[in-house]
Order: sequence, then structure tokens, then C-alpha cells
Amino acid sequence: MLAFRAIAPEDEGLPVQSSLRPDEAPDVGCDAVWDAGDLGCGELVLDLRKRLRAMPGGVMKVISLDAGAPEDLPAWCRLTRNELLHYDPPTKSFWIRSRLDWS
Amino acid sequence: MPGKFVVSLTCAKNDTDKATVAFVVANAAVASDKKALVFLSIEGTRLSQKGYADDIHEEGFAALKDLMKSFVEAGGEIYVCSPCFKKRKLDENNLVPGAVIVGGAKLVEFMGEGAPSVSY
Repeated sequence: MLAFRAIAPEDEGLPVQSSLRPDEAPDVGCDAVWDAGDLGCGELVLDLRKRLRAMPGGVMKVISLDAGAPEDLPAWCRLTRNELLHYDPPTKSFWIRSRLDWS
Repeated sequence: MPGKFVVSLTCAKNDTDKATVAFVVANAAVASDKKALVFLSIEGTRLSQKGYADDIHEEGFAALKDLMKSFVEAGGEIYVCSPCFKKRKLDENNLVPGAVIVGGAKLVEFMGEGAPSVSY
């Protein structure tokens, strides 16, 4: 059984949506789920940064419908040293572990 | 001489001269052993669609579709700005070979450690 706990971001204006269950991917658990919808490019990664920064060491499942996300989120993870644990193309889901040393 | 080279292109049929010259320069870069990238944004994203460039042929230059084809076949990459693409309601299932829809982070990664660039 995978544990699920929605972690609220620092900004209360950024609600964590938990309509999707984290156990949809059998091998990867998560601490929070964020359905980013159609957000893309700079808007997507800036919002994602705020959310991950609020949960160092935690794993967030991000669902992104943006056509650029499959290229962009792995690149952003490499740039920012957040670990991309898993990507599931059919569900457009990314599991990202927030780095520990946010400044 | 290894290294990267970026050609940023914001035009399509609104300025076919710029669109053509951009890919001429991109071909020069990839022919010079550069890891070459054409970044299509704004109106330039329309060039990512199959068939769009078929009737663009500036006097004194090769046809644009041939320039794009030769660029990709030589190893060049084409990044297509995701929000620009979405704004124009283009078809992600109708991309020309070599075109990849990306967000800004992908471009930042490519250019992050330094890459000369030219913009059209």
C-alpha cells in the first residue's frame, strides 16, 4: 500500500489537487499530486518550483497535458537537480523528488 | 571544432526571406560540425507543420522544405515553442521530421552553458 499525503504548498493560492490516486503507478509512490492541466513552459516550471520547494525530499506526481512537457520537465529536473523518478506517457504523469537543499 | 549553435526563428509566411535565411545559416552551422538547433517561436512555429513550407521558395535560395529536410538529415534539431504552438492551435500529430515541442526549460538547458545564437 502506497502512502498518500497531500502537502500544501507555501502559497495557499496553489491548491494541490488529489483527484488522481498515487497508486495508479504501481512502482512509484508520492507525497502529493498536482494536476497542472494545460500549464506549460515558464508558467509550468515556475509553479512547479514553488510546490516542490515546499516539500524538500518529498515526491510529487505531476500531471501535465502540455505537449512540451515530456521534453521540458526532464530538462528542468536536470537543470534544477530535482530527480525525475518516473514518467508515464499514457497518463502524462511525472514523479519528481524535490531536492533537499533549496536555498 | 565542436560546440553548439542556435538559430532563433520567429517568422514563417509573414517573412519568407527571414525563414529561408535562418535555415540556410542553420545548415551552415550543422555542416560545420556544430550541434545545431533551430528554435521556432511566435509565427515560426507554423513551420513545424508538414506541408506548410511546401510553397516557400525564395529566389536565389533552395526551397525551404528542402533546407529544413537537409538540416534535420545532417543531425540538426528543431525545437518548437510550446505556448506559441498551442496559441496557434497547431497539430502535434502533424510535425515535420526532427521537430520537437518544448518549453523554455529545454532551450535553457541547451543554451545554459553558452551557445552562440543568431535571430531572425
